[in-house]
Amino acid sequence: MLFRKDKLDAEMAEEMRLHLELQAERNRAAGMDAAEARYAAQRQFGNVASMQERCREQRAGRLGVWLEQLGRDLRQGVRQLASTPGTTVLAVLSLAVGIGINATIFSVMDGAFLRPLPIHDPETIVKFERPRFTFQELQQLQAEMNSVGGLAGSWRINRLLQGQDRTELVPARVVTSNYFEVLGVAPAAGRLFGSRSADLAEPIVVISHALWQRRFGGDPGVVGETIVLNERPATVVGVAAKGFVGEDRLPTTEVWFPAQTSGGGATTRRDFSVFGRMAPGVSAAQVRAEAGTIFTRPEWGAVGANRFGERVRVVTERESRMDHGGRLTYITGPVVGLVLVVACANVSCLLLGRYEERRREIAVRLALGASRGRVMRYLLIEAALLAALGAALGLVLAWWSLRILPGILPVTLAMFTPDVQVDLRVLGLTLSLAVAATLAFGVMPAWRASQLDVSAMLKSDVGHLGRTPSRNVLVIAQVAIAMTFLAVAALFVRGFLTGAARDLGLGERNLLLAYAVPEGATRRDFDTLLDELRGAVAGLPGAQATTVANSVIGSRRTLSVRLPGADKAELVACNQVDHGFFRVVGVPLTQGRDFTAQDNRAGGRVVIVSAAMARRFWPGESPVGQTVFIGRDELLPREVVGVVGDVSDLTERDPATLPFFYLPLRQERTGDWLVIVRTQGDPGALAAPLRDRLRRMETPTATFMIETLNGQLRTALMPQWIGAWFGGVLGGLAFLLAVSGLYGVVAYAVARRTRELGIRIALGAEPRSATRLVLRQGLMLAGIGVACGLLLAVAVGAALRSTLYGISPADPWALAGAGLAVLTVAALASWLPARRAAKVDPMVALRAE
Amino acid sequence: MTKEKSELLQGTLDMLILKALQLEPMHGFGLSLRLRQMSAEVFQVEMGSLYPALCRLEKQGWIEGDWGVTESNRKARYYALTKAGRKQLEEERTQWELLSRTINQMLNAT
Repeated sequence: MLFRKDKLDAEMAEEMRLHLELQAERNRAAGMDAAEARYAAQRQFGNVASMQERCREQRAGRLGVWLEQLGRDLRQGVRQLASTPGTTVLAVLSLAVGIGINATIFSVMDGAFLRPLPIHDPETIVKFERPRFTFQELQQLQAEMNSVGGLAGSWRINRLLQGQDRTELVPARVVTSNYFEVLGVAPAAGRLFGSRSADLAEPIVVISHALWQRRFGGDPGVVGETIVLNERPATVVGVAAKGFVGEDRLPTTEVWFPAQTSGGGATTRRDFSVFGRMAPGVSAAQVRAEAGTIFTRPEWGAVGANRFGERVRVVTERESRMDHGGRLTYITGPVVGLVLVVACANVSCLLLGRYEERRREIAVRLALGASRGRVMRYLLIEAALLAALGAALGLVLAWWSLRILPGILPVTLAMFTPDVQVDLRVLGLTLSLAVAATLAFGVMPAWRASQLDVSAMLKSDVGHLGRTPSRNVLVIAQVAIAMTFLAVAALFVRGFLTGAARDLGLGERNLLLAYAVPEGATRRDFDTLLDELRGAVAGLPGAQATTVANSVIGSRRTLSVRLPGADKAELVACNQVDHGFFRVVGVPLTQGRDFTAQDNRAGGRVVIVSAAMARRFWPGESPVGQTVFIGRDELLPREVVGVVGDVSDLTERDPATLPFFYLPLRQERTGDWLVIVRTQGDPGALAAPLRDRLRRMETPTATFMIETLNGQLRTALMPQWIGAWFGGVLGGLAFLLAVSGLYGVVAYAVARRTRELGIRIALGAEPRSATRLVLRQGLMLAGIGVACGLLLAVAVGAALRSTLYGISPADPWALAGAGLAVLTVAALASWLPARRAAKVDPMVALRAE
Repeated sequence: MTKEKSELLQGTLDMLILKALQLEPMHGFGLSLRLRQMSAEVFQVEMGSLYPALCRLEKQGWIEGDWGVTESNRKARYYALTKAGRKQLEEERTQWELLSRTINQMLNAT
């Protein structure tokens, strides 16, 4: 085939040569001299090469020629890329970073929100959002609604899964027995709940595929085994299908209980979130309309609108996913996309520079009859090759970062990380990003290059690929985007630092916190167990003081507080603590006394209040000795025995405005025990010995999470932490790209102005002034970029104000710091190549022309 | 290019080549002279159109190229009309006549 093609080409060349000769002969006969006759013949004939090309097209058909040229351009492109490895590597890395981070974030978002649930026909699932239902109401609704085939409900609880080596908190759901039927989920092993009455008699659970793999190594023998959840044994009857984590993906569910086995209260309490499968042929609008008429009936008053005035909203499964996290996707998507934009701008700059160097080659191609479209295609193929390499490397980056991600995230966030993987959808996104990137960074330089003025170019060396403004604009945009990211990151860092450093009201910071679950805590004598636990921890080397409480800072409970004689109650946050708490965590006791071991069920009912609460309920008088009613059903008043300092609730609010009170743990007897240990040195170092000691107690006690106070504060500052990291990483990447772009522009300016600089130096200009000249250009670009970026950052900061932790979006420290840092690095990036301007040897520069 | 010389109507070049080859096989240069002569110097055949047209016609199987020798003893590629080519020429001629008659009628209509 190839041989035949060559033969045909040779024949055609021969044929055309003859044509030229005959024409020349004729011209000679008409009286021209030999040379003139030959030129005239060539003029009359036209461009031989392009004609041959068109003949070939006629012969092979357009597609054939197109493919053949494509093959040639590809080979040529690979050669070109290989000939300038430095630029190629830089471009591929830029694109890989841009595409990789997009693929990573998309994978997470897709896994969390975008992908439909792995259930049967998710399109026909509708949820009744917000107000919750009792089991009876659920059944009544089922009876009244015609547009929904099956209604099921569930509510979320957390359970401690006890095990031999570790106890972990697993997110669980209590579900109606038709739950799996309505969703259309199949078991991966064993069976799921059915409407069988046997399910009601004994405690059974279904576990998730992920839990099955993690805790039981995927052993099918788990079916029929007993696991212990919150000290209650339950039999595992089956494993849910792989990937199924409940009717909401976030937070995930790992254990399902049938509603009837979870205790009598479940049927009368308004606990159930309800969803249903639409009857065949019914649209969501019809369900909405029917629900609208049902919930306006007076007997549905309690459910139709809850006490916050929210009405029942019927949403499809898709709408529900979008409500929960879709909006987040719409924000992060474009933000992360900006990094790719910066990467593309960078590659665009690199390509412009490359084509500039190759403008002679391009001009020759044009002169030899290549059409401008053809030249553009040839250049675009190079761009596409770069994009393909970048996309491939980007995918590897994404895969890798998804693997290490769960390890870097704090525990609390990692629990919410769904099952994320690089799949076909991510591959599709990456591919389209690569195509978009090629178009974005390749078209402009290629078009510029193909518009070369050929005759001017070939006659002299002055032809240029467009002027520099386009590169300058690209660099300014890069710097501006990077600056925005970095400035926003700086705002978050400031917010984080302010948050971490602010006065919480705790005098001690070296605290180790262990969430402990004593075995049989509900059966054994509460006070004895507490004393045993405190005694065990007290002997721990390095431990200064120990106490037990419900939480260390902030509150897990809010109770109503009413003064005797008053008819209105007020909701106030509280904590349950054992004696010694205030001394251990460093909250000053300003009046009265601390709790003692005698403040138990046998003792008098007492309470300690915060200074803010004292000011609010007993303004101008001492609260000690006063009585107060606490909790909804409490008939007996409590006596205030002490007043302590104010403690922050981990929000921005001023602690002095937050009423707070403390109940004795021994009177409340809640099961959530937080062992608090004040340590001499780094509290983290004591985590392992503490866990060990608790396990070896007479009543073995499992700990499911041990963290330091500072770790807990970091968790509380998670939005700032994430903002700082997200902005910092993206900004860092964008800035790296921008700096290399800036470097390139300045280096290029030096190269292009070599002759001019040479003349200046030859005419007596100081070499240093040449450097200054070039340096000024780089700094100008960086300066404009920084200014634009800072303005943008203030706008972004204003939009994120609520998460900035008391920092103004125009915080001078954050903005000036980030701006200065960017300017400094930008100056360095321009100075390095600008230095070369001073080294221009006028003789060499002028002779080179 | 003077005013009298005119571009060939799109699509008519193929038909004219076939017509020119009806009498005898010819090489490319001869064909270009012949076409000009046939049109009494009115049509200017661009070489950039002629050679691709020859390739096209050969691929269709209407003409056939073969190497021969010119009067001045040079090797040249001669194109001859094939059987299919003759049929094609007749077809195109009939169509052209129909077309030109119709257009003439339309132009002369009062």
